[in-house]
Amino acid sequence: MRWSWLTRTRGLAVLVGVAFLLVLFSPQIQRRPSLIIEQPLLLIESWLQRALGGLGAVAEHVTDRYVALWDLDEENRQLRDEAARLRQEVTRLQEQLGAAGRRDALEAFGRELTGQAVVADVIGRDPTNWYQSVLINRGQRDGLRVDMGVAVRDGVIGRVIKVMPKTAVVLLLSDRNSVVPGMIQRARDEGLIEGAGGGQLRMKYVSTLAEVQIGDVIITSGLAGTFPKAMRIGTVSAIERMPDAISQQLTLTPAVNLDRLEEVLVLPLMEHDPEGER
Amino acid sequence: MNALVVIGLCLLIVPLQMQVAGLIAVAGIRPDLPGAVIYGIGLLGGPWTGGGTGLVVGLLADRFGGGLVGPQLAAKIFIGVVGGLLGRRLLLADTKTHGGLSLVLFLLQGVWMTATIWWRTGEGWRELYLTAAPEACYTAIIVMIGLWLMRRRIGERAERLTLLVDR
Repeated sequence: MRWSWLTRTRGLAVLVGVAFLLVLFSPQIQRRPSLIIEQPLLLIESWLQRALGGLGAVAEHVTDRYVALWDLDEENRQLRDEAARLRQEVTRLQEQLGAAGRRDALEAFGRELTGQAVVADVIGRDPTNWYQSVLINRGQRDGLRVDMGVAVRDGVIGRVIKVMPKTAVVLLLSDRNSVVPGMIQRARDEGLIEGAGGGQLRMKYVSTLAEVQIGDVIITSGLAGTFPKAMRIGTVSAIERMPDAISQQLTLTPAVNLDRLEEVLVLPLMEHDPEGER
Repeated sequence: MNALVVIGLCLLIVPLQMQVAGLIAVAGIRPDLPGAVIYGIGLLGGPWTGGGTGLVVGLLADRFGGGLVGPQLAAKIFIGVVGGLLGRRLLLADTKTHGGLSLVLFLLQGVWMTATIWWRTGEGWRELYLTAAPEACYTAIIVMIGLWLMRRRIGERAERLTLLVDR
């Protein structure tokens, strides 16, 4: 099977390519794949993503545990292999127990928070270094929609931005494109929380009258309909007050370690509540 | 190039990047494995094969990533086509030359991605030295290793091309 047919029909290929790109850049396609040729491609890819979901963990395990044993002599190798196998078995069982426990806790937390939350596993990181996002193993078929909030027990982590049949992309709070309305828990002043790069968050448009202190807890305000009120976002680690400015800017440390996510809870979209009392 | 191999690589490289590339990250920077593969495919298969691979891989990277659909698509098509054009003239160049050329390509990709982030958020130029430069260097090293491992296959391909020109 060769590609020479393509070179014979260059003009047609260029036209089809340009038309494809034009359709692809349309705003509706940006949010949801709807091209006939794109759907099966994404379905195959989602299946591959789910199938390879454990590959990273297996590779990490191999590099951590077995590479160091190469240079031992035969007798010790056998004994150590046996010990390693048993340790691995214990680790695997502990991991299963831990995962089941975490999942149960997350489900209970979801029920407590709202009745229709969906527990999902993180199966991949963003394919580039340019964005902060994760791929989860739940999608349109599980009732996920764009703009749904995503959280863990310790606090919020981001929101769903792309939904495919069996997977979804979650934009993390630390991404520069992420914006979440928040509130200083103690002072009750509101602002917008954006990703600042380097795993940090930034809270903008906070009134200069607000009495903020380092260590203050920032929570969701419940206004955007993505998160219920009073979920933890992070803590204030630096305050920037510009002279003559009408607002101050806060640097936040996220409540959740966004580099180590395993199971997450996808929250249903909230009905708009002017009081934000959910 | 065998189309089945190209299709297989197109489908597998994005999931591998998302799940395995983190293990070889240096200071939080992962190499752009899809970019390296597209450059290699372009080099061996020509600009059309490179561009086509870039289109599919770029689309998947955009769909499964946190950004808009478009930036990675355009960058990967560019890498594939330029890799293909370089392959026509410099297929037998040494790995250092290819390392240098791919470094330039990946730096251009970094500048493009930084510009798209700046366009959306109004900031992010720091990413040029925090992300673009380290990623380009790391990926160029991966390209050099890959081409060194495939040197026999590249030699065969160059021989076939020479025979075709002679005829």
